Amino acid sequence: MTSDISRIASTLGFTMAELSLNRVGKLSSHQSWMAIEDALTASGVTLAVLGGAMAMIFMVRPRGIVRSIGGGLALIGFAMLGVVAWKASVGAVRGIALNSEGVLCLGSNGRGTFATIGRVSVPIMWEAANVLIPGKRYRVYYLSDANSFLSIEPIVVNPKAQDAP
Amino acid sequence: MISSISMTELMSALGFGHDELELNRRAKMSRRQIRESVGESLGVIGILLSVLGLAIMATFYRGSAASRIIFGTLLWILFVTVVVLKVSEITGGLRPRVVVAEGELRVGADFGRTNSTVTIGAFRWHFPRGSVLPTVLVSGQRYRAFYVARTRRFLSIEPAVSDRASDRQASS
Repeated sequence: MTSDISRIASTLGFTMAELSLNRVGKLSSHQSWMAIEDALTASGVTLAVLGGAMAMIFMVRPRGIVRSIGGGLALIGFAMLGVVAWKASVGAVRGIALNSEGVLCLGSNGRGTFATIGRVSVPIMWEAANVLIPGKRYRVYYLSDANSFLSIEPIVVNPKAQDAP
Repeated sequence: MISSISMTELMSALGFGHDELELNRRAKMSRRQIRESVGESLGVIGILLSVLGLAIMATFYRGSAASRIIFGTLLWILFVTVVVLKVSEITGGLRPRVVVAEGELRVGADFGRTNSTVTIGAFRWHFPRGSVLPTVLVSGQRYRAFYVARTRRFLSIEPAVSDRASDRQASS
Protein backbone atom coordinates (compact mmCIF):
# COMPACT_ATOMS: atom_id res chain seq x y z
CA MET A 1 0.00 0.00 0.00
CA THR A 2 2.86 2.35 0.89
CA SER A 3 4.43 1.83 -2.50
CA ASP A 4 0.98 2.45 -4.01
CA ILE A 5 0.73 5.89 -2.36
CA SER A 6 4.33 6.67 -3.28
CA ARG A 7 3.60 5.90 -6.93
CA ILE A 8 0.48 8.08 -6.87
CA ALA A 9 2.41 10.90 -5.13
CA SER A 10 5.32 10.88 -7.55
CA THR A 11 2.99 10.78 -10.57
CA LEU A 12 0.63 13.53 -9.36
CA GLY A 13 3.37 15.80 -8.01
CA PHE A 14 3.09 15.78 -4.22
CA THR A 15 5.28 14.34 -1.47
CA MET A 16 4.43 12.17 1.52
CA ALA A 17 5.34 15.10 3.78
CA GLU A 18 2.81 17.27 1.94
CA LEU A 19 0.17 14.55 2.27
CA SER A 20 0.81 14.47 6.04
CA LEU A 21 0.37 18.24 6.25
CA ASN A 22 -2.80 18.11 4.12
CA ARG A 23 -4.26 15.49 6.50
CA VAL A 24 -4.20 18.12 9.28
CA GLY A 25 -5.61 20.82 6.99
CA LYS A 26 -2.29 22.55 6.26
CA LEU A 27 -0.33 23.31 3.11
CA SER A 28 3.40 22.93 2.51
CA SER A 29 5.36 26.05 1.51
CA HIS A 30 5.57 24.70 -2.06
CA GLN A 31 1.80 24.18 -2.20
CA SER A 32 1.23 27.68 -0.76
CA TRP A 33 3.48 29.21 -3.43
CA MET A 34 1.69 27.23 -6.16
CA ALA A 35 -1.65 28.56 -4.85
CA ILE A 36 -0.29 32.12 -4.97
CA GLU A 37 0.97 31.53 -8.53
CA ASP A 38 -2.45 30.26 -9.59
CA ALA A 39 -4.18 33.25 -7.99
CA LEU A 40 -1.79 35.68 -9.70
CA THR A 41 -2.21 33.95 -13.06
CA ALA A 42 -6.01 34.12 -12.77
CA SER A 43 -5.80 37.78 -11.69
CA GLY A 44 -3.51 38.50 -14.66
CA VAL A 45 -5.97 36.97 -17.12
CA THR A 46 -8.82 38.96 -15.54
CA LEU A 47 -6.84 42.21 -15.76
CA ALA A 48 -5.92 41.49 -19.39
CA VAL A 49 -9.58 40.90 -20.29
CA LEU A 50 -10.73 44.00 -18.39
CA GLY A 51 -8.02 46.11 -20.08
CA GLY A 52 -8.85 44.71 -23.51
CA ALA A 53 -12.55 45.45 -22.99
CA MET A 54 -11.78 49.02 -21.85
CA ALA A 55 -9.48 49.61 -24.82
CA MET A 56 -12.15 48.27 -27.18
CA ILE A 57 -14.95 50.36 -25.71
CA PHE A 58 -13.05 53.63 -25.32
CA MET A 59 -10.58 53.54 -28.23
CA VAL A 60 -12.24 51.52 -31.00
CA ARG A 61 -15.64 52.93 -29.95
CA PRO A 62 -17.90 50.39 -31.65
CA ARG A 63 -21.45 51.54 -32.33
CA GLY A 64 -24.89 49.97 -32.29
CA ILE A 65 -25.30 46.21 -31.99
CA VAL A 66 -21.51 45.57 -32.11
CA ARG A 67 -21.11 47.77 -29.02
CA SER A 68 -23.96 46.01 -27.19
CA ILE A 69 -22.82 42.46 -28.02
CA GLY A 70 -19.10 43.19 -27.53
CA GLY A 71 -19.72 45.04 -24.27
CA GLY A 72 -22.05 42.31 -23.00
CA LEU A 73 -19.60 39.51 -23.82
CA ALA A 74 -16.70 41.43 -22.26
CA LEU A 75 -18.76 42.03 -19.11
CA ILE A 76 -19.74 38.36 -18.83
CA GLY A 77 -16.15 37.22 -19.47
CA PHE A 78 -14.78 39.69 -16.93
CA ALA A 79 -17.36 38.63 -14.32
CA MET A 80 -16.62 34.91 -14.80
CA LEU A 81 -12.86 35.37 -14.72
CA GLY A 82 -13.21 37.75 -11.79
CA VAL A 83 -15.01 35.09 -9.75
CA VAL A 84 -12.30 32.51 -10.57
CA ALA A 85 -9.52 34.97 -9.69
CA TRP A 86 -11.29 36.00 -6.47
CA LYS A 87 -11.77 32.38 -5.35
CA ALA A 88 -8.15 31.53 -6.20
CA SER A 89 -6.92 34.56 -4.25
CA VAL A 90 -9.09 33.80 -1.20
CA GLY A 91 -7.94 30.17 -1.29
CA ALA A 92 -4.27 31.23 -1.50
CA VAL A 93 -4.63 33.70 1.38
CA ARG A 94 -6.57 31.33 3.65
CA GLY A 95 -4.33 28.35 2.82
CA ILE A 96 -6.61 25.66 4.19
CA ALA A 97 -6.58 22.09 2.89
CA LEU A 98 -10.04 20.51 2.82
CA ASN A 99 -10.77 16.88 2.05
CA SER A 100 -13.48 14.79 0.54
CA GLU A 101 -13.74 11.04 0.39
CA GLY A 102 -15.73 8.63 -1.69
CA VAL A 103 -15.69 6.62 -4.88
CA LEU A 104 -13.44 8.06 -7.57
CA CYS A 105 -14.87 9.07 -10.90
CA LEU A 106 -12.46 10.41 -13.54
CA GLY A 107 -13.78 12.58 -16.33
CA SER A 108 -12.50 15.06 -18.85
CA ASN A 109 -13.81 18.02 -20.79
CA GLY A 110 -12.27 20.72 -22.97
CA ARG A 111 -10.46 22.22 -19.98
CA GLY A 112 -8.71 19.03 -18.83
CA THR A 113 -9.17 16.00 -16.57
CA PHE A 114 -11.34 16.14 -13.45
CA ALA A 115 -11.51 13.82 -10.45
CA THR A 116 -14.90 13.66 -8.75
CA ILE A 117 -14.81 12.25 -5.24
CA GLY A 118 -17.85 12.65 -3.00
CA ARG A 119 -19.35 16.05 -3.68
CA VAL A 120 -16.09 17.59 -4.86
CA SER A 121 -14.73 17.80 -8.38
CA VAL A 122 -11.12 18.97 -8.75
CA PRO A 123 -8.94 19.44 -11.82
CA ILE A 124 -6.18 16.84 -11.91
CA MET A 125 -3.30 15.84 -14.20
CA TRP A 126 -4.24 13.53 -17.07
CA GLU A 127 -1.61 11.07 -15.75
CA ALA A 128 -4.07 10.35 -12.89
CA ALA A 129 -5.71 7.78 -15.17
CA ASN A 130 -2.47 5.72 -14.99
CA VAL A 131 -2.29 5.52 -11.18
CA LEU A 132 -5.85 5.97 -9.87
CA ILE A 133 -8.57 3.37 -10.26
CA PRO A 134 -12.09 4.68 -10.95
CA GLY A 135 -14.67 3.04 -8.70
CA LYS A 136 -12.20 2.66 -5.82
CA ARG A 137 -12.51 4.78 -2.65
CA TYR A 138 -10.09 7.67 -2.23
CA ARG A 139 -9.67 10.75 -0.04
CA VAL A 140 -8.72 13.85 -2.00
CA TYR A 141 -7.21 16.97 -0.44
CA TYR A 142 -7.94 20.29 -2.15
CA LEU A 143 -7.42 23.97 -1.52
CA SER A 144 -10.45 25.67 0.04
CA ASP A 145 -12.34 28.18 -2.17
CA ALA A 146 -10.01 27.61 -5.14
CA ASN A 147 -10.89 23.90 -5.37
CA SER A 148 -7.43 23.08 -6.72
CA PHE A 149 -5.90 19.65 -6.23
CA LEU A 150 -3.31 19.14 -3.46
CA SER A 151 -2.95 15.40 -2.83
CA ILE A 152 -4.86 12.13 -2.78
CA GLU A 153 -4.70 8.78 -0.95
CA PRO A 154 -6.59 5.52 -1.18
CA ILE A 155 -8.89 4.78 1.75
CA VAL A 156 -7.83 1.65 3.59
CA VAL A 157 -10.73 -0.17 5.16
CA ASN A 158 -9.69 -2.11 8.24
CA PRO A 159 -11.36 -5.54 7.90
CA LYS A 160 -11.30 -6.11 11.68
CA ALA A 161 -13.09 -2.82 12.31
CA GLN A 162 -15.63 -3.68 9.62
CA ASP A 163 -16.39 -7.06 11.17
CA ALA A 164 -16.70 -5.72 14.73
CA PRO A 165 -20.27 -5.57 16.08
CA MET B 1 -7.96 82.42 -49.32
CA ILE B 2 -9.33 81.92 -45.83
CA SER B 3 -12.49 83.80 -46.73
CA SER B 4 -13.36 81.01 -49.21
CA ILE B 5 -14.04 78.71 -46.24
CA SER B 6 -16.70 79.80 -43.81
CA MET B 7 -16.35 79.24 -40.10
CA THR B 8 -19.37 76.89 -40.24
CA GLU B 9 -17.67 74.74 -42.90
CA LEU B 10 -14.49 74.68 -40.83
CA MET B 11 -16.42 73.56 -37.76
CA SER B 12 -18.34 70.82 -39.54
CA ALA B 13 -15.15 69.54 -41.22
CA LEU B 14 -13.15 69.44 -37.99
CA GLY B 15 -16.01 68.34 -35.72
CA PHE B 16 -16.69 71.09 -33.21
CA GLY B 17 -19.50 73.58 -32.66
CA HIS B 18 -19.92 77.32 -32.06
CA ASP B 19 -20.77 76.75 -28.41
CA GLU B 20 -17.68 74.56 -27.96
CA LEU B 21 -15.42 77.19 -29.50
CA GLU B 22 -16.95 79.78 -27.21
CA LEU B 23 -16.31 77.56 -24.17
CA ASN B 24 -12.73 76.85 -25.30
CA ARG B 25 -12.08 80.59 -25.59
CA ARG B 26 -12.95 80.81 -21.89
CA ALA B 27 -10.60 77.86 -21.16
CA LYS B 28 -13.58 75.55 -20.63
CA MET B 29 -14.68 72.38 -22.39
CA SER B 30 -18.05 71.06 -23.49
CA ARG B 31 -19.44 67.83 -22.01
CA ARG B 32 -18.69 66.00 -25.26
CA GLN B 33 -15.08 67.19 -25.30
CA ILE B 34 -14.59 66.15 -21.64
CA ARG B 35 -16.24 62.77 -22.29
CA GLU B 36 -14.02 62.10 -25.31
CA SER B 37 -10.88 63.19 -23.47
CA VAL B 38 -11.64 61.02 -20.43
CA GLY B 39 -12.70 58.14 -22.71
CA GLU B 40 -9.40 58.28 -24.58
CA SER B 41 -7.50 58.14 -21.29
CA LEU B 42 -9.61 55.20 -20.11
CA GLY B 43 -8.75 53.43 -23.37
CA VAL B 44 -5.03 53.96 -22.70
CA ILE B 45 -5.53 52.74 -19.10
CA GLY B 46 -7.22 49.68 -20.61
CA ILE B 47 -4.18 48.94 -22.76
CA LEU B 48 -1.95 49.38 -19.70
CA LEU B 49 -4.11 47.00 -17.63
CA SER B 50 -4.09 44.52 -20.47
CA VAL B 51 -0.28 44.55 -20.74
CA LEU B 52 0.03 44.39 -16.93
CA GLY B 53 -2.33 41.40 -16.82
CA LEU B 54 -0.42 39.58 -19.55
CA ALA B 55 2.88 40.32 -17.79
CA ILE B 56 1.57 38.91 -14.49
CA MET B 57 0.14 35.90 -16.31
CA ALA B 58 3.40 35.24 -18.19
CA THR B 59 5.42 35.53 -14.98
CA PHE B 60 3.35 33.16 -12.87
CA TYR B 61 1.89 30.76 -15.41
CA ARG B 62 2.92 27.15 -14.79
CA GLY B 63 4.94 26.89 -17.96
CA SER B 64 8.60 26.25 -18.60
CA ALA B 65 11.11 28.48 -16.80
CA ALA B 66 12.53 29.71 -20.12
CA SER B 67 9.14 30.88 -21.44
CA ARG B 68 8.37 32.55 -18.11
CA ILE B 69 11.64 34.47 -18.19
CA ILE B 70 11.46 35.47 -21.86
CA PHE B 71 7.78 36.44 -22.10
CA GLY B 72 7.64 37.78 -18.55
CA THR B 73 10.65 40.06 -19.06
CA LEU B 74 9.45 41.28 -22.47
CA LEU B 75 5.96 42.09 -21.17
CA TRP B 76 7.27 43.84 -18.04
CA ILE B 77 9.58 45.95 -20.22
CA LEU B 78 6.63 46.76 -22.49
CA PHE B 79 4.48 47.67 -19.49
CA VAL B 80 7.09 49.98 -17.94
CA THR B 81 7.73 51.62 -21.34
CA VAL B 82 4.02 52.28 -21.92
CA VAL B 83 3.64 53.66 -18.37
CA VAL B 84 6.60 56.01 -18.82
CA LEU B 85 5.38 57.20 -22.23
CA LYS B 86 1.70 57.52 -21.40
CA VAL B 87 1.43 58.51 -17.72
CA SER B 88 1.45 62.24 -18.50
CA GLU B 89 -1.12 61.73 -21.28
CA ILE B 90 -3.40 59.72 -18.97
CA THR B 91 -3.35 62.27 -16.14
CA GLY B 92 -3.83 65.10 -18.64
CA GLY B 93 -6.79 63.34 -20.23
CA LEU B 94 -8.52 62.48 -16.95
CA ARG B 95 -8.28 66.07 -15.71
CA PRO B 96 -8.44 67.97 -19.00
CA ARG B 97 -7.28 71.59 -19.20
CA VAL B 98 -7.66 73.82 -22.25
CA VAL B 99 -4.49 75.32 -23.71
CA VAL B 100 -4.34 77.79 -26.58
CA ALA B 101 -1.67 78.06 -29.26
CA GLU B 102 -1.48 80.80 -31.83
CA GLY B 103 0.66 81.18 -34.88
CA GLU B 104 1.09 80.58 -38.60
CA LEU B 105 -0.15 77.20 -39.75
CA ARG B 106 2.45 74.92 -41.29
CA VAL B 107 1.58 71.59 -42.86
CA GLY B 108 4.36 69.03 -42.88
CA ALA B 109 4.55 65.43 -43.96
CA ASP B 110 6.28 62.98 -41.66
CA PHE B 111 8.50 61.27 -44.20
CA GLY B 112 7.90 57.54 -44.38
CA ARG B 113 4.97 57.66 -42.01
CA THR B 114 1.27 57.53 -42.58
CA ASN B 115 0.64 60.70 -40.59
CA SER B 116 1.09 64.32 -41.56
CA THR B 117 1.43 67.15 -39.10
CA VAL B 118 -0.03 70.59 -38.72
CA THR B 119 1.91 73.01 -36.56
CA ILE B 120 0.33 76.10 -35.04
CA GLY B 121 2.66 77.80 -32.59
CA ALA B 122 3.48 75.24 -29.91
CA PHE B 123 0.72 72.86 -31.01
CA ARG B 124 1.67 69.93 -33.22
CA TRP B 125 -1.31 68.09 -34.56
CA HIS B 126 -0.90 64.68 -36.21
CA PHE B 127 -3.55 63.58 -38.65
CA PRO B 128 -3.87 60.74 -41.15
CA ARG B 129 -2.85 61.51 -44.70
CA GLY B 130 -5.78 62.13 -46.98
CA SER B 131 -7.93 63.79 -44.30
CA VAL B 132 -9.79 67.04 -44.96
CA LEU B 133 -7.45 69.07 -42.78
CA PRO B 134 -5.22 70.62 -45.43
CA THR B 135 -8.23 71.52 -47.58
CA VAL B 136 -10.05 73.49 -44.90
CA LEU B 137 -7.00 75.05 -43.26
CA VAL B 138 -4.70 77.38 -45.14
CA SER B 139 -0.97 77.03 -44.81
CA GLY B 140 0.73 80.29 -43.80
CA GLN B 141 -2.48 81.75 -42.33
CA ARG B 142 -2.55 82.62 -38.61
CA TYR B 143 -4.80 80.45 -36.45
CA ARG B 144 -5.66 80.05 -32.81
CA ALA B 145 -5.92 76.38 -31.83
CA PHE B 146 -7.42 75.09 -28.60
CA TYR B 147 -6.23 71.72 -27.31
CA VAL B 148 -6.05 69.61 -24.15
CA ALA B 149 -2.85 70.08 -22.16
CA ARG B 150 -0.44 67.09 -22.12
CA THR B 151 -2.58 64.87 -24.35
CA ARG B 152 -2.41 67.46 -27.17
CA ARG B 153 -5.90 66.42 -28.16
CA PHE B 154 -7.44 68.90 -30.61
CA LEU B 155 -10.55 70.76 -29.43
CA SER B 156 -11.26 73.66 -31.78
CA ILE B 157 -9.63 76.23 -34.03
CA GLU B 158 -10.35 79.70 -35.37
CA PRO B 159 -8.55 82.09 -37.65
CA ALA B 160 -6.52 84.56 -35.61
CA VAL B 161 -6.81 88.17 -36.67
CA SER B 162 -3.38 89.76 -36.26
CA ASP B 163 -2.95 93.16 -34.56
CA ARG B 164 -2.00 94.79 -37.87
CA ALA B 165 -5.10 93.42 -39.56
CA SER B 166 -7.33 94.56 -36.72
CA ASP B 167 -5.63 97.99 -36.82
CA ARG B 168 -6.35 98.23 -40.53
CA GLN B 169 -9.97 97.22 -39.94
CA ALA B 170 -10.31 99.81 -37.18
CA SER B 171 -8.78 102.62 -39.26
CA SER B 172 -10.93 101.88 -42.31
